[in-house]
Amino acid sequence: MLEVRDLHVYYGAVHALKGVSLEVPQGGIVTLVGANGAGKSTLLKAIAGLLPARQGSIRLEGQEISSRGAEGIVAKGLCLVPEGRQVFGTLKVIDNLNLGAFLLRGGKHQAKRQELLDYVYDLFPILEERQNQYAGTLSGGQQQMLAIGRALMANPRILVLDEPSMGLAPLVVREILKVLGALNQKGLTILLVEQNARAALKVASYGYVLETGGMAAQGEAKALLSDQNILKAYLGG
Amino acid sequence: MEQYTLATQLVQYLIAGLTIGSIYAMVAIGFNIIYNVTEIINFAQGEFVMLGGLIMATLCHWLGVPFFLVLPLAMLAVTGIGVMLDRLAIRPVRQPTVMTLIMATIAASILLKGAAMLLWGKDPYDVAAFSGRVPIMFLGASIQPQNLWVMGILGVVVAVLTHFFGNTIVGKAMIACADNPSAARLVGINVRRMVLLSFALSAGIGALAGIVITPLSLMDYDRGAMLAVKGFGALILGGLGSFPGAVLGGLLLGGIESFGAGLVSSAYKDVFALVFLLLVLFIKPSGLLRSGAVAKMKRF
Ligand SMILES: Nc1ncnc2c1ncn2[C@@H]1O[C@H](COP(=O)(O)OP(=O)(O)OP(=O)(O)O)[C@@H](O)[C@H]1O
Ligand SMILES: [Mg+2]
Repeated sequence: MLEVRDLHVYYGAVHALKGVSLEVPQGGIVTLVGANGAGKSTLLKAIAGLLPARQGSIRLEGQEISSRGAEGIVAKGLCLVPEGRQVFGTLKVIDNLNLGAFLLRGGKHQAKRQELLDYVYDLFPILEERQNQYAGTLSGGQQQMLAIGRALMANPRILVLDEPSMGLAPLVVREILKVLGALNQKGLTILLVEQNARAALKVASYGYVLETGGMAAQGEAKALLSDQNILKAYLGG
Repeated sequence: MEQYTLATQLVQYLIAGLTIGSIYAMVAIGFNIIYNVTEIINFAQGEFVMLGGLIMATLCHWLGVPFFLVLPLAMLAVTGIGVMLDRLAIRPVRQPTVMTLIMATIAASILLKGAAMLLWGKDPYDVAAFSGRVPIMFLGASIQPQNLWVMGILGVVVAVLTHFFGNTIVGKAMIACADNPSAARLVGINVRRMVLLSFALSAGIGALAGIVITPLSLMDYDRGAMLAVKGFGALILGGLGSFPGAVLGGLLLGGIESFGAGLVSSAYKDVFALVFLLLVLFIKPSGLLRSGAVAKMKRF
């Protein structure tokens, strides 16, 4: 579904990603873990088209997307839920969700939009309750749900999430991971970046470990979880 | 009868103030639309007003067709100039920071003013009033129908923009670009296109202001800068980024100018407006209708 090959990304002169490769199979749920500053967000931003790739390829269902720009990549069915949620705080919850379906605007998609909205409200009933509230007034957990809901409104085939558990209470984290599991069950392909490696490896089937701009390890999630060396070296025990 | 005369005069000043205030408000709204999407203060905003008036005058003169057919044409022409401003002056800037982009708009305003002087010369131009120049008597004051047109058009602009930003998905997308451009891109909004749209919209509104005020106060190549200063004053007065603030600030500034000119001396009308502006900024630096917290969030 998604295939990254030998990707190099720079911030000016800073070489942030030094030849990273990664693969997410159709219908899979893959996680990417790694310490602070390893380059996880950089990789996701490059995949989503927010950062240019200096070298290497990013393919979505066989098609090269690395020069399409963020808007074009959403249209291709890949949505990023960015680090730190980044909801539109000055707009209402319902507006945030409607904007998620920006590419499906216009009368001919009306039914589809309604279907997606019902689906999102079904997943996160709190969003329906708060639909007329400004997004900036929501709690962190609710904002994260909104950020995921907004991405789902674009009807993606692959959802990419950057640390959805950041700064949230364990109970909320569990709820969000549960929803991701359910979405995956329904056929959505997921790439999940987490610092909370244990939690992420528990929901994922395959995992990658990123360290200072390069892949340090990869394997079945279960194998990574039980590999004492990897746990010690990269995942904080 | 002394009382009666004073009251009449006050009504007259009020009408004059609300009229010019409506123009300031429209200029301020134009500033706001671009500022809200890009954080740029477009110093060519006054030039849009000037061009609206002059292009309208020329089109009326050349084509001699009914007024309301020419009006959209003149607006369209200025909107086109707004689009060009974005394409030629804003987008090509290599390292776009808010400051360099503002400089680009200043350069563009000088260029537009120079071009207008070459094309139209230094003489002021007139445009036929929308519905004649027979005054209407109101509370003893005589009002030009055009005064009502000016205020009415401000009302229409406010209504249309309220609908646009409040109820349409493209309007919300523009707000989203201002709120968080990279998140906007992640939902598929083409931010550059929204910036272009913001320039087009403000140019159109500026043109409309110029078209509707020309029958009352004529128009020449040199009027843009002063209109921009007043509109900017209105904007600061009401609170940068706030649309109700722009309207309130514009009308207040227009009113103060008009009463000051009428009751004290017309030589000092700009002074009254500026002193009032300074006082407000001294007491409430974020403007009348804007909270300090919001003002701090913006990078200005
Ligand atoms: N805008 C930027 N300019 C320059 N360097 C940057 C920029 N953003 C990130 N970096 C650097 O790139 C490297 C990777 O950063 P990145 O944000 O991708 O890490 P991360 O794995 O997402 O970390 P975290 O877990 O803290 O989110 C870091 O060394 C960081 O300092
Ligand atoms: Mg990160």
